[in-house]
Amino acid sequence: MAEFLITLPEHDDVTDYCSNWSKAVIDVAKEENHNVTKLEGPNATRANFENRVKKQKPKFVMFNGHGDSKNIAGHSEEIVLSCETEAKNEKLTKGQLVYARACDCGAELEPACVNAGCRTFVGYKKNFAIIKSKSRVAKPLNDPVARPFLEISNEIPIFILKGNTVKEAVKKADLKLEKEVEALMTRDSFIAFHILPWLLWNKKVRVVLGDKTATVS
Amino acid sequence: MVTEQERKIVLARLATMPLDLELSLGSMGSFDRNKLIEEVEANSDVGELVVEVYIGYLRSFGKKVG
Repeated sequence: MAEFLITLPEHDDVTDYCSNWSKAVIDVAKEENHNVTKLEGPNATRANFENRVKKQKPKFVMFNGHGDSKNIAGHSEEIVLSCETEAKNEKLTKGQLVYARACDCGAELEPACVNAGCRTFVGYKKNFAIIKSKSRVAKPLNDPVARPFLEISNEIPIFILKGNTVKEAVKKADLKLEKEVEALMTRDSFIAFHILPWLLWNKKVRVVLGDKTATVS
Repeated sequence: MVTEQERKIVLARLATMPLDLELSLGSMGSFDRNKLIEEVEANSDVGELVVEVYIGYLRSFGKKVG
């Protein structure tokens, strides 16, 4: 059993999609008897994040949210994790496994966290892309176009929570990507052509730093 | 840096994108078919990224065949 903290901002379509699809990750965490701390919606603030890290000492942290090269945001774009001089708090990730479903943070924040003692950090060094259906925005979990983007990226935290090493969890995500690519390529559909480049892009810009043999146990 | 030919290829492909689909690039925003075409035609940061990704994908087929 481990302490698992997850941020779930929901202030726009993208964060709403990521947070809704994170329910599958939370379900696995509970099945595996991990203690789950959720920072949902307006509670996904820097103050709450810092307080919970200090109090719960999570072994595994998952961020959903917008990001840039030095920051990850929570609710309404409030920065929750940063390596910028005036606002840095990356040392809070010391000893943790981190998965950040956020754009760009793999470029500078991720190495800064690892240098500050974060055990392993999985992030993205450029934009994390999602193709979605405009007609399904009100029900993200019913969006079949967005499904592969979120399910593939979910594999990483899911398999970490199941006790796999980070390396194994990333490999599981890549196997799921292969299956999705194969399924999409056999469809006679204009949609497949527009989805595949971005699924492959997300893998291309993914960065894993630190101890790839780390587990939550 | 993208070539004019690459932009034209991507624009032709984008013209087939169903209108209901939207590409989300985090805080850069969300873009449907018409907005993506505008971005590519304007050679914006988003437009260059879109061309890079689509052309990279098409080139990967060439490597497999070759």
